[in-house]
Amino acid sequence: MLITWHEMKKAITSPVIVILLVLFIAFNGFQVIGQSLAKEELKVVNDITFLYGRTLTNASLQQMKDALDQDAKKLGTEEEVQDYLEAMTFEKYEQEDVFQQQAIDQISLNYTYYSLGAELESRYTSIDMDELREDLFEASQMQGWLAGFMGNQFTKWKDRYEEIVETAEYKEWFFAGQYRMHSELFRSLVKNIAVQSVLLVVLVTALIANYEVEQRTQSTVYTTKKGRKLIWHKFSAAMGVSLLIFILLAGFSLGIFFLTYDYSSVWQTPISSGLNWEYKLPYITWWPLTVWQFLILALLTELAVVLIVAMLAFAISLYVKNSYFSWILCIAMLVAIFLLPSFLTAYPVLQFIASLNITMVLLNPHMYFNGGTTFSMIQFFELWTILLWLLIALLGSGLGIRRFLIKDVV
Amino acid sequence: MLTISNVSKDYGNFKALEGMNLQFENGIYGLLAPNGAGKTTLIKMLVTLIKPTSGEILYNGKPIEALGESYRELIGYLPQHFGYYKHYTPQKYLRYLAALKGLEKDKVDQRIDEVLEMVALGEVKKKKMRKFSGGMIQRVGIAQALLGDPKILILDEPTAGLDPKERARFRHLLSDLARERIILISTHIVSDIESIANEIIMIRDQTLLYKGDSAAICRSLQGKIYEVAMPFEDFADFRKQYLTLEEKQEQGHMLVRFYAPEQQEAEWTPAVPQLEDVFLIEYANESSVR
Amino acid sequence: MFGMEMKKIFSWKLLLLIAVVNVLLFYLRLEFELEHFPNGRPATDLFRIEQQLIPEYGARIDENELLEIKALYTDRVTAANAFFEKEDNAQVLGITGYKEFQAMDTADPELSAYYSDLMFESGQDFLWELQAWELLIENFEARDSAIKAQIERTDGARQQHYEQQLAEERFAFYSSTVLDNFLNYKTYMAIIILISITILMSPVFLRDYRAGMLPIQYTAKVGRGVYRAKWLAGLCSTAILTVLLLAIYMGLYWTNGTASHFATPLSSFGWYDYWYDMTFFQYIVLSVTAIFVVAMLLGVLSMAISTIVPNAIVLIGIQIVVLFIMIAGVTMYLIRDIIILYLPQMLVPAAYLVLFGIIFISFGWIWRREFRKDIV
Repeated sequence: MLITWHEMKKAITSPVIVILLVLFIAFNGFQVIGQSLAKEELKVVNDITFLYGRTLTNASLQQMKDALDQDAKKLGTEEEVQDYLEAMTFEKYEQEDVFQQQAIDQISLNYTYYSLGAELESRYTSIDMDELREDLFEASQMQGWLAGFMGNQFTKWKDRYEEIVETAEYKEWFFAGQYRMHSELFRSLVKNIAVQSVLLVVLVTALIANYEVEQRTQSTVYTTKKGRKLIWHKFSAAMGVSLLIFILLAGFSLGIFFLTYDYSSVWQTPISSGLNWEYKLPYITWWPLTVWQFLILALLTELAVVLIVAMLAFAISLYVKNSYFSWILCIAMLVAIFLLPSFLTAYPVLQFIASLNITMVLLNPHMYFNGGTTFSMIQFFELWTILLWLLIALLGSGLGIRRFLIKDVV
Repeated sequence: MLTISNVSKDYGNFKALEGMNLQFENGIYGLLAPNGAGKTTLIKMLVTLIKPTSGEILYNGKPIEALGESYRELIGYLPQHFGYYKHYTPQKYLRYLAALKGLEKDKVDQRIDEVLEMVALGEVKKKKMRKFSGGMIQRVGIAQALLGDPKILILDEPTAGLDPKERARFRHLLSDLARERIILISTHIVSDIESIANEIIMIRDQTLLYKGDSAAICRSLQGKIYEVAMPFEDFADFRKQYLTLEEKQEQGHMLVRFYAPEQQEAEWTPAVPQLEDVFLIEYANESSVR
Repeated sequence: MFGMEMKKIFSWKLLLLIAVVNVLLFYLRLEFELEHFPNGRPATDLFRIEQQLIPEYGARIDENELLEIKALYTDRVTAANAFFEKEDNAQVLGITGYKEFQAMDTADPELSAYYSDLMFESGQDFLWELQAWELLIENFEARDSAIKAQIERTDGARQQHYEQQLAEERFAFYSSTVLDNFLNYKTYMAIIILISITILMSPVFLRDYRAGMLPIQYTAKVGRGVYRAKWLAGLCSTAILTVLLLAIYMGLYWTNGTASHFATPLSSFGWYDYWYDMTFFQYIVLSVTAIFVVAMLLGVLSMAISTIVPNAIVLIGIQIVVLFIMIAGVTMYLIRDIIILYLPQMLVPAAYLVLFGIIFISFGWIWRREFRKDIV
């Protein structure tokens, strides 16, 4: 432990690592705060869940409607809220005083959620699963077991969709899709955290693995009692520092995010909420996952990817022995495996295998545990990919370490 | 006892060492060889940095490779180019190496103070090594080699960068340490080991040339080393004929010490053979010596 | 000595690495802009029509020419009418001609199915093409009001720009299909080149420092003049690699077949407005020059960084930040948006001056320091 700690200190006390870490956290902070124009509007979800409960039912929607009509009356109209808002032209709005304008804004905002809720059932149940199945088979000329497998996967996903409809899992309040809060949190922030971690982790691993080469202390260090077995400590140290970097980056960045946005009322909402509908399809997850469960799982998945990248970087460093080349090669390799599937469109089976791709997992946290019509949306995709690459990474660093243990130090 | 048994090392077609056989028991050994003779290769094999292509190295009858940690625990090694972390203090660096050497934790700081005292660096133990002179760095190197109280101490060019006073101090230090351990010193500087080494090992052309005590090796030159004074103009011719070992300009003439294995002339004064002479004679044909 | 320094910079390992990185980055983004140009519908049709019209009518369309173009369009509508007359399906659904097709209610499931069958399934080119014609003609007919709206909305130099445009009747007829594609292409090209330069130039000085060469080099006859030689070699290498990559990527761009648009001024293409009017070809030359200049500056900056860093880790750490600024800042504003109207007119030239200033002042300082510092 002491020796591992010594090795970790070589990286932790390196000013460049610390400065980069701080810069990355600052960058994420600016990104979050710069994008947070709508954060006050988002608070309306807290009021709604407080007043009408987290689940949307016909009864609660009716309550909401009545309350909105009441509010409209207070503004001095006899119309229903819908008509009132439709009749509210820009000119009319401009003539009202500031307090009145605020009240109108508030009603209009609440009404947006009400109408989203009211239309949710028809919108959600009109998702055409058969058409999606066609898309799946049009996108790739699959045959044999692969076609069967993907077909099965799709059927399972369809069953899951039906289950969501049946159990009304999708009928829970979340920030309206137009704010893209799911993307904001996962596609932007968690992805940035993961990518920044990778940049740092590769650097740190190259630093620890090649430290004695760079400092020309190999003859001194590898002839001690510990000798070349020190490499195991270096391996653990690289993992330890990687873990630390990820925790610090994620901790501070997410801390800023949740200080900026109030998630208190939606932690228990499922990711598959019909309100969480940003693009063509809502997020239809393989399992019922609440926002906090999804966040924890997404972070664990990204952490696993980051640690695997650290292992791969360790293996590369042992072979290349030059931090500069190691770093560039490692990042280039991640890009290369990302590109690989697109070169294999003519061979669906190979393309399928190449799609089990850690870079893809790294870059798409918003799509985790989601079903759909691509190879990367099969059930347990993240798990399979991580296991496959964990195997490759362990094999790579295992071979590298074995080679290091018997090779001449020159 | 450390035994080198028929050890060779090849790098592709290049032979760095061939059929080497040696035995070490407690005492100081001076390893003398010109550059490129295989000296560093031999040392790197002894400290497990490289492996023999054939043959084996045994410690008390067991291959050092199989002994692993329990062998490395016994060695203290000062590489020819001693690497260190510039931004560390000697104390911090030695603490790190102590951890690698498996020293007992509660004795580490005391031991560090001891070895730093031995090399007279006690006062700068908390200063960053960035500012150290070459001699100070070399002494840190010696300190780290001694840190684990090694049974086998291997020093490659240990006196490089040391001033005469430090050198003398270093020789005393080694003499004190020599009783219960094997000390192998590789050097070009004959005077460093002449007085303290129990045995001299000489390597030539990638193989062992000589091993024995320095008195014996000098005795073999008895009656073959002479001194003579001559005018400057004769010197050029003389040099073509004999291997000169020392050339000194004196008032009006040249004082030459030289090697003459066969004949003897009246005006020559016999001289006492020195270890330096052996070195120069044995490696007379090596380009790096002359 | 200069030549030997060049050889050290262009080590085959480094060149191989740069080649690999280029291939990867090319397929990551750039290839898309070649493979998918023009990108989909109606971009394909717009491009085809423009290729036909530009040689015939040139940059500016006058009223007579507009009438001719409309006549071309009407011919095609006639052909479309003939098509629908022959289509049994169309007749059944009450679509007797192109006018009815345009006006049909896509909320009706039957009609909607027929529509998507024509447009997407059987992919009737002429329908897409007609859409493209309409797009061009309608945009052009709204030219006056569009510019007047801009004058309303802007002030200062921008407003003057639009007023002048209106006065000189410099109206855009063509679409921005080609320009958009070039905009993306040059941006990704710039990013790839900047990354390549960084990889090549970062180790220049660190290499000799790590090898312990400085005491030997600086005490040789040339002394610290060797720094100047390395610096010049670095500058030359940057230029060579940049020119080489620019040649390769612009050569690939040539395959997009946009030469038909080269002589047409920027103001003839819709969507974006520019501070200065120039032909598309001049704009390409300007963009390529900008990339070259930025690449040279980055080369100098990388050498400066290479001089002061103690090891590769610090080097990479600094270069991550530098490249981020170079890509997110310099490439986006000083290359992609170089003369675009929505940036203040003086911003880009001023930013270039500041960039020059910062880099040369810092380099001058590092240079002087290198010539004076103690080598320990």
